[in-house]
Amino acid sequence: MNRRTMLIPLAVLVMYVVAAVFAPLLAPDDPNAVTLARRLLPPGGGHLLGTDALGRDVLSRVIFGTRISLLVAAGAVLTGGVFGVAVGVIAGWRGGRIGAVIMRLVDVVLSVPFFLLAILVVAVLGPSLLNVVVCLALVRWPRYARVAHSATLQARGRGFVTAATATGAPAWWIVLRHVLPEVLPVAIVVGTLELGLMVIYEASLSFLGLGVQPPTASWGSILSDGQQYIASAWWLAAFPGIALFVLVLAANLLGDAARDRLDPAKRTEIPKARRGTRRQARRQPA
Amino acid sequence: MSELVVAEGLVKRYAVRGGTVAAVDGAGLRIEQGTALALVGESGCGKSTTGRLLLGLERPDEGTVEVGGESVHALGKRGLRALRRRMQPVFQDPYDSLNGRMTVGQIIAEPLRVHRVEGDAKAKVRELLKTVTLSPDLAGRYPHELSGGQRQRVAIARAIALEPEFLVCDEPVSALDVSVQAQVVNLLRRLQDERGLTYLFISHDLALVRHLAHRVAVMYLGRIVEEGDTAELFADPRHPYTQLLLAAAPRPRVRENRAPLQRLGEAGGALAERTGCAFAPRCPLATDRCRTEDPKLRPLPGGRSAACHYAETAEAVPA
Repeated sequence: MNRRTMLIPLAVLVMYVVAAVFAPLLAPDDPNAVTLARRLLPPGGGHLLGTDALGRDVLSRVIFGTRISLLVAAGAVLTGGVFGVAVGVIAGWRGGRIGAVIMRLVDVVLSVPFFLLAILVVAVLGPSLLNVVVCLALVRWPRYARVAHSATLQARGRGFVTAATATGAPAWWIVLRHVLPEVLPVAIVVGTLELGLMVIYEASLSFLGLGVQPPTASWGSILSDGQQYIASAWWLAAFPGIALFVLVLAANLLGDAARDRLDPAKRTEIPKARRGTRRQARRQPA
Repeated sequence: MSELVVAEGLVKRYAVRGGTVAAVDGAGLRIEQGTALALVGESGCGKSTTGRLLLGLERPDEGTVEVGGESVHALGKRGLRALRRRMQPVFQDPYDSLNGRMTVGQIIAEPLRVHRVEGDAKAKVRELLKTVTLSPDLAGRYPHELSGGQRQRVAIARAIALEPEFLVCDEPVSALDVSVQAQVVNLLRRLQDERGLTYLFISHDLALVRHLAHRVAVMYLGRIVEEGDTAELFADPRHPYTQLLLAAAPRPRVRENRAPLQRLGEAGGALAERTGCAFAPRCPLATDRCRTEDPKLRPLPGGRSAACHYAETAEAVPA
């Protein structure tokens, strides 16, 4: 993707953010106003996307649901990302036994089934928006830790890190000024890719009733409500599904584009002179 | 003249599959203040590790390093930090040793900031750029905008920012084009003249060593096998390894290049328990004594020393 095509998913993402922020202004109706007289109206007419079994306006609920989805996804990516990067950088920088122990722990967490942990967290803490974020961050931080760990190891082997050590720079200085700038771009790419996944996970948790609680609208809970009417009222499941699909697609495309731009091989740069050239030259018969 | 750098009995082992390898195996070095000692030897003989040990970037398993009377590896954090102002490295690959996300000015100013040096850092950076014959206007540029020679000069500017006494130059020009090598070498020489710097010059380029070094130490499998004044060592090498190494170096006139020497084979044996001289398996002059008794580095007439039982008479290369 080039610069211009990258703008499309970015614009879509901005649209969602605007919808979330200005939900009360954009929504034609109160998302939680129950009017049984107008239940299960098809799209068109007075309600653009129809109404649900309780007569609530689907468009308004989807718009308000954007808030939950974005809030949870952003919160999970930020908390999981910050924690994971910190853990990965520490493990990579310290190395040795401490690093190995931390990275094995990361492997363990990565192997825990997501929904099992989600059910556990909700069972202990109770279902709430905050707990959904906690739960997602708890499951996803090892992803960031992995990439941060390998990026740190790579940075640690670079000459400029050795040069800074030889200067007498303290460890925190080197980590902040030389290692983190190498780690963050990679972590940001993972973050954008994770964003889409977190939206899906939130919807899944809410669908199962482990996420936000009624009557709060979330795409997952709207889908869940619409499930039993899927044969007669398709719009209940279709519209939150489309909203979800487009957002995830945009987030993934943006993540891919970010990854491409950060791949050194795809940037125009002077090729590096490597030690190998000298070794090869020496290997020829004396 | 006093000795600024004294290293004794350095041993550095690395764990590998199936045991340990001693990259440095009992090497010792002494460098007089204001002189340049060249450390030569083939790839993998422990030259770079020795340099890293001297700078305190690695901890030796045995042995000591003293720089300016301070014991590098016995110092606490604070003392080492202070000592680091007095010794700085210049690395081989200026594409790797400069952080591509920082400007030239930030790179050169970093040591000043680390040590909270008083005064106008910007002015100091401009002055340092001039010292290494670069335009002060380059301060705002990024390393990828510079040529290899320019980058190496930036690395040198960073190394001398804290006005150190001792520079460890690890193959400082071997990653550069031949046409720029001379400029960088002459810069290093001029800096030595002007500032009385002491150098450890790690290199495999014998012509360069001849040009720049006062003394030469030859390293083989982690040990110093011969040491002496540059001119004398080149004129009359006493250790068979040095003799073969010098004979293998290409000469400027094709006619003077010798017919290929007997193939030396790979330097093995770093891993295995060895008895006797480390060079014996490859040495054309090796005797039973060489294979059983390890020759110590011993003084020879004329301020020389060599680790060979037959140093007085050895002639590994037929004249």
